[in-house]
Amino acid sequence: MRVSPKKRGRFKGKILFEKVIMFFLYRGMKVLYKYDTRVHNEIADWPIGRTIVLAASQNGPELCMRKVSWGIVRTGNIEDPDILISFKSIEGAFLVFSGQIGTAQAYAQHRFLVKGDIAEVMSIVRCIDLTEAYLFPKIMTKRILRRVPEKQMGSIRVYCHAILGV
Amino acid sequence: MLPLYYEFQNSTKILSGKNALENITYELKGLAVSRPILLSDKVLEKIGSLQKVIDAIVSTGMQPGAIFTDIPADSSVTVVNNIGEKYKEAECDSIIAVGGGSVIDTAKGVEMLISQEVDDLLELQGCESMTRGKHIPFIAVPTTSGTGSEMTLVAVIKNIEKSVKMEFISNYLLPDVAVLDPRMTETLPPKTTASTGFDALCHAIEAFSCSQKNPLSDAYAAAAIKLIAENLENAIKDGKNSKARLAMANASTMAGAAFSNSMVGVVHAIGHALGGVCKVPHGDAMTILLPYCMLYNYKHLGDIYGELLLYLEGPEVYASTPAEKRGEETIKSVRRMERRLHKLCGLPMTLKEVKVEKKDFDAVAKTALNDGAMLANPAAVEYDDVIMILNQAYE
Repeated sequence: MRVSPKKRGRFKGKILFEKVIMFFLYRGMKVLYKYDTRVHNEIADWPIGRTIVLAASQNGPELCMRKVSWGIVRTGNIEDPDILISFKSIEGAFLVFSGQIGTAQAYAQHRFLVKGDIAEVMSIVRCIDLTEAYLFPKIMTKRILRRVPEKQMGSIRVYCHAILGV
Repeated sequence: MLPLYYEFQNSTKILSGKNALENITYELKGLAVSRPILLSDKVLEKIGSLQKVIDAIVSTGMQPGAIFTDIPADSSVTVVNNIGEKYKEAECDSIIAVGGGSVIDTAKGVEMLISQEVDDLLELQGCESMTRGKHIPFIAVPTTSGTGSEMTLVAVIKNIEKSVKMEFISNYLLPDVAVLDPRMTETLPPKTTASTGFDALCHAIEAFSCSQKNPLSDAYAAAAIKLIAENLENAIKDGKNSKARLAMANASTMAGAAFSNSMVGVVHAIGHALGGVCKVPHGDAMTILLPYCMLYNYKHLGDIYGELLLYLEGPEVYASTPAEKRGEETIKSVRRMERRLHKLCGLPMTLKEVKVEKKDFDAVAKTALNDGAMLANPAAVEYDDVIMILNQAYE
C-alpha cells in the first residue's frame, strides 16, 4: 500500500521544516553556550564525550551532538547514543518544532521516548526551552513555556550568530 | 475538559478482598505457569506475612520454584542480578512479589532482566523506550497501602557500583495481577500506616492536578482521595479493622493507577531529592511537602484543587463553600488531616522534625530540578522556588 500524494507532500514539507529548526536549535544552543550563563552552566555540567541524539522520529531527521571541552559539536550519525530523545512520529515532532506545544506538553502527551539517564535529559530539556525562548516570538513562548525566561541577549543577535556560525 | 491528546493504560487485573491470596494459584494457572519465584524481605518473613502467601499458594496446589527474601530497603542492581541467577537455576517461570515498593521494584527489575535478555539493566534506562520482550507472568502482593507500585509503570533501581539511581518507565513493567488482601496490611504499625497513606493521598492529588491528567486518571484519583479521607484514620486507630485496611489498599492501588498515567509533580520531585540527599523516608517527605507545594501550585491549580474538596470533606462542606474558596479550603483540609495524624501517631509535619539540615537545601534543590517529575508539574519550578518551598516546610 502507498501513502496518498497529499500526505506524502505534507510529510516531506514537515521533514524539511524540522531539519531547518534542528539547524537553528543546534546553532542557537552553541551561541547561547557562549552568551547565556544558564545554558553555559547546563552544558558545562554534561560529561565530556557525552553523545546526544534528538530524533524527529525513528526514520526522521536527527540532531546528533557530542559534548566536547569547548561546548557541543554536531556530528554524523551516532549508533548508540548515551541519551536519545526520539519523537514517536514526524507529526508529534512538528507540534514541538513549530511551536504549537512545548517540551513539557510533549512529554505530557507521550509524544517522545527517552533512552538513558532521565536526570541528564532534564538538563537537555532546560537547554531546549531556553533556546526556544530566543528563537520563537514571545507570543509563542508564552503559550509553550511554563515560565518565559529573561533573555540575556537579543534574539536577532542569536539568529545572526547562528546563521554566520560564529 | 478533555486534553488535546492523552494515553491511558491499566492492564493489571485486581483481586481485592477476603481470601484474595487463595486465588493466586488460579491466576498463575491461567497465565500458564507453575513455578513462581517468591520475592519478599526479611521483615515480612519474620512477622509471618510471607508465610500467609506461601500457605495460600501451597494449599491450593502449587509449589513455589524458589524463595528469595534478602531484598534491602533500596532495590539494587546487584540484588536483581542475584535473583535473576536464582530464577534461572531453579527453572522458574513467573514472579510473585510480596512487599512494599522496594520488593515490587526489585521484582520489576528481575522481570526486565529476564524478559529483555540484557546483561546490564543500564541499557534499559529511560522512558517508554522498552519493547515488550518475553512475557514473564508477574503477580504483586502489596504489604503497604501507599506506593501503588503494583499498578505503576515505573521502577527505580540503584546501581551502587556506578553510583546512579536508574529510572525505568514502561508500560511493560505493569504486573499482570495485583492482589489486595486485608491480611497483608493488618500488622502495619500506626505511624507507617499514616505515612504510607499520606503517600497514597499525595499520589492521588498530584495525579489529579499534573499535566498528564485525563478523565480516566481523574476518576481513579478522585475515588482514591474519597477512600483515604474516609478510612485512613480508622486504619491507624484500629489496624485489625479489615474494612479500613482493604479500603486503604484499594485507595493506594487506585492512586497508583492514576499517577502511573498522569505522573506526579513537584511534591515527588523534591521528596525524591530529600530521600536521596537527607534519607528522609518517602511517606514523611510527602506529608511534609504536600501542603506547601499545593500552595506553590495554587495560582495554576486553584480551581482543580477546589474540585477535590468534594472528595476530602464531602458534599455538604463542598456545597456550602463558595466556588472561589474551595481550592484554599482543600489545602486547609489536607493540613487539618496532617495535624490529626500528627496527634494520633506522631506523623512529622516539618523538615526539622525529620532532621533535615538547612545546609543540605542546595543539594536537595539541584537534585530535585533533575527529577523527571518536574516536567509533569503544571507550574514551572526553578532553583529559588525549591529553596523557598524547603524553607517554608522547615519549621
